[in-house]
Amino acid sequence: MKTVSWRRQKWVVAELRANSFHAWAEGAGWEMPLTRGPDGRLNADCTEAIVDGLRRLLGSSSWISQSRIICAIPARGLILRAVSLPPTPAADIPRILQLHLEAEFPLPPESLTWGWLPSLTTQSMGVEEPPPIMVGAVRKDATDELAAVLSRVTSQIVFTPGLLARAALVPADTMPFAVLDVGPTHSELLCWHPAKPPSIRVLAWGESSENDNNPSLTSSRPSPQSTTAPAPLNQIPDIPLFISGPAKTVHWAINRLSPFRSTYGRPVPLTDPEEPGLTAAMEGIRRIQNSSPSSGTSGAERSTLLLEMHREPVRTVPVRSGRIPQRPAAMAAALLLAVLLAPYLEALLLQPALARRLTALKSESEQLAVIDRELSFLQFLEQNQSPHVDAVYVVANAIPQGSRIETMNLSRQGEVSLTGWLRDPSQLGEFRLKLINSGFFSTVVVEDQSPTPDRQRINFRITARWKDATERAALKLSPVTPDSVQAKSTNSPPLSPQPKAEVPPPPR
Amino acid sequence: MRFPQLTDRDRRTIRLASIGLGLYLLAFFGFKILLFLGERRATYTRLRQEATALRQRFDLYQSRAVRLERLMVSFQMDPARLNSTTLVADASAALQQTATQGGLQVGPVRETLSRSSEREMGTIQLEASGQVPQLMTFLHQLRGLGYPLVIDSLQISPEQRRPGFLKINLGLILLNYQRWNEKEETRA
Repeated sequence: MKTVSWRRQKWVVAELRANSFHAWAEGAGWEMPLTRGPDGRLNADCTEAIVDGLRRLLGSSSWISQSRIICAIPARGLILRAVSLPPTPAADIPRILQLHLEAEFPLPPESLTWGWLPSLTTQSMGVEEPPPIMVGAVRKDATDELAAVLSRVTSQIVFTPGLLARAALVPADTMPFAVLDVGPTHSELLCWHPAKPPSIRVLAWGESSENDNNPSLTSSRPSPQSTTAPAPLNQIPDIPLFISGPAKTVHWAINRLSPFRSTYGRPVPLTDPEEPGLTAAMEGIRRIQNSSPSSGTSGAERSTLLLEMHREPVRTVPVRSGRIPQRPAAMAAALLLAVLLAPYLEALLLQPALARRLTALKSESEQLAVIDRELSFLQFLEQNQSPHVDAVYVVANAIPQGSRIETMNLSRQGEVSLTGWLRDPSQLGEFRLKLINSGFFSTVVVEDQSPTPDRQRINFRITARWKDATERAALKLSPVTPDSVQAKSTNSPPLSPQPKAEVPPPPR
Repeated sequence: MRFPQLTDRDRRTIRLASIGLGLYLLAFFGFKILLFLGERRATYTRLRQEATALRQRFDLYQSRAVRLERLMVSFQMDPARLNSTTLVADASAALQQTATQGGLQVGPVRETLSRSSEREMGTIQLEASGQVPQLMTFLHQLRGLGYPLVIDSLQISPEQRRPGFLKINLGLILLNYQRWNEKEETRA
């Protein structure tokens, strides 16, 4: 079942060979010969034809679709280096590699088109050291012309050495091996040994050049007279050799090289696929992309052989002026979002616990009503405790010597009634004045005063009313109570107005 | 099952339809989600306000609880634990016992149950005789007897048959906590 991607990426595989340009995308391929001007650059007709052909391959792309071109380029001018780095976070590797580039290569990184692979598939150089990183670079001039053409089609352009892409077709269990890409005038040789970084050489040997020099070799069969290999071919090590190129050229090269192979015999053909426009390098790229479409660094064992060289150097620091850094902007956006959502998240997360707690508190708040009720009751009781003892104390202090109080009535409403007798009328006035001056009573009325028949005493009846509790609170009365007597005897203040031990305890 | 090959036009139509549908769903469910979140937020805010008010109320009752505790210690009484059924009998017994232990001679004791007032459970009329210090001690101990007693009337008169002795006629009101209404106004 074919899935319809909402924002799918369409990618084109291409290769720039010495005399031709090849492109392939989604089952459709196309190739065209290159025509160059006197300065060796592609002429205008040729570039227009390339652009048109690529646009036809990509079809009518909508504004949301993305296209990417992965283009294999010749290995001329390519320099490979194995760089060993200390253990470094992946995000810092490009920045550190940029420093290495300045030391390893004669040109500054800005003048290079360079790329790197996280690790080689070969063995590590040391036991404890991390595997070396393969860095490849070519002069930017070598890719600028092609990049200018391809950028008219898409902005996502990736270059890769075609020879390394061809190596992806070599069986995974073959190591060491060599790949020879035979061209018309030059050939490119890749030698790959375990525990060594791969090396690439350009040999001045090709089908056309040798035929021009020796017309007897135009046939596909080797000449019996040629018992020694041409000088450039002596650089080919005696390891399994894979010959790449068009089928006819590969067949010719195998026949040409077979007599000089001793240990490993005939070279193995690595011919271009039969699909139109597709070359071995493009097939290698396709295989790697299919094994891991996103990164191209997992899946098949040879997948890491694809060395992508971005046209622009990797810029990590410093940040370009006038452009908002992506990470801080993302963090700021996340922070803003968190600030906006925090109140809602707080409500979502804390509301159940708060509701439970509030329910518990409300049930506990019923206890508050009990407190109110008990407090109201006891305050009422406190405020209705009549000051009978205080009244007796005030009257006892005010009564003159030699007098007598017969009866004393006190009511809860504050009315005090006294009856008794005094020796003379002046004592009655003195007694009344003392009662008033005590500040305890608000009114003191002598209701009756009458002398006895023998004129020795004066009977009286006095009614008084004590003041309110608030007014009485300011008075400093100190009636002699059992507690105060006990406190004076022990010379220590009373601890509390607790009754004595014989008082029965309150009901429980 | 094989699907027919989609043309570029079909793909573009499906893509645009997907975008439109996605925007519609985003707007529809986004509005719903915003409403839901806003409602939860409002509920949470209301609960927080209730919690704040409740906390302030609890803070207020801290001082009330302290005052209540002092009064309970002062009166030696927990109103909630008073047994209304036997309250009058218990209070009368405690009064007589206290008077007797204080050296007073207890005379007639009359108990009446109140029927009209909700505030009063009943009244106790007590007559006792003794010397002045004993009487004063008895009057002072009435507060901490452990019962809600209010002295309604007090009459002090000399004991005719024993010189130096006084006789008191004490009228006490026993308050009824069970039917106490906390909103009732207190008065001095």
